[in-house]
Amino acid sequence: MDEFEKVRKLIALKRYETPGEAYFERFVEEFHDRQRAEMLRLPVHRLFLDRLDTWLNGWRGKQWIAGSLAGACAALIAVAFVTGGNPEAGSEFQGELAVEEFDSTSLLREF
Amino acid sequence: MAGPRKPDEDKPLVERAQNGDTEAFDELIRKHSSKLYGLVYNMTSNHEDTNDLLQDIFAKAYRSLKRFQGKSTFYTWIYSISVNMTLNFLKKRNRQRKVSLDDVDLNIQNDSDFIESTSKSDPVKEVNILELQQRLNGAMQALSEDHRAVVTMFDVMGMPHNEIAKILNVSPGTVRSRLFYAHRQLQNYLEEFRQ
Repeated sequence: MDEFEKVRKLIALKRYETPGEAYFERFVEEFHDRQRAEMLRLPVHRLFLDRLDTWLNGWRGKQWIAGSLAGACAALIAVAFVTGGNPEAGSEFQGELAVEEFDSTSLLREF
Repeated sequence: MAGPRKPDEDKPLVERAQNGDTEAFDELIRKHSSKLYGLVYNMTSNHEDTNDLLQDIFAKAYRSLKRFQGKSTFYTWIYSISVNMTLNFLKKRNRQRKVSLDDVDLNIQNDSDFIESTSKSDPVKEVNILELQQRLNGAMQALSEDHRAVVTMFDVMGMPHNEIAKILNVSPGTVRSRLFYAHRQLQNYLEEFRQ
């Protein structure tokens, strides 16, 4: 027998030094508890970034949809910025509504 | 020469976990935790440290999973994380804790090698299980962290040289030379059980 063989067999006995199955079931539960506790400690912006990252990963392989959505969002933001930045645009719109109201009242009176 | 790479049997679970399926990650934990426990425990010789380290290892794997591209198998990847984190832990603390022997699995008594080693009629050699465990743990703790890692993976976990080399990111030759040196040290330490 190889000179080291007996020592190796003794060392291999250490493979039995593991806890039972119940420990490993509890281990998964403990893992969840620790994950939750860690999440509570994280700042809000970090949580938001994590969620955003997960959401974006969900779009992996559907880049064209993600691209279209991103384009649409950018267009909406641009429109909101342009109209929001010009007070005249908003008042003109309200003016049109007022004219319509006026017309309908006068029509009722005539009736 | 390296043969064709084996397909990663964990791939479906890994992909599900990467897409946010937490149950798939739980499955990966259940599948690998027992062996990883053995790996970490035999490097630290302390159950409490092993539990904490194993939790940290899976937490790190969970956080890094999206960056795992499948260049190695999940098994090799998580073993690398485990070995590196355990080596860092041991180097940082650089301590020799008292070995915990409270919960040794008594299945060891049914092992044919154990029976052979302990039941040879010479009463002087009839060591009890705790003494033997203590001696083995002492021998392992006497090794350097790097040598203990290779002995744990090769002799305790039964992993091949190539796999150990990948996990440690060294050549198979380095693994063999570390094993040779570690075996010589262990042999001296366990001399009385060898006869």
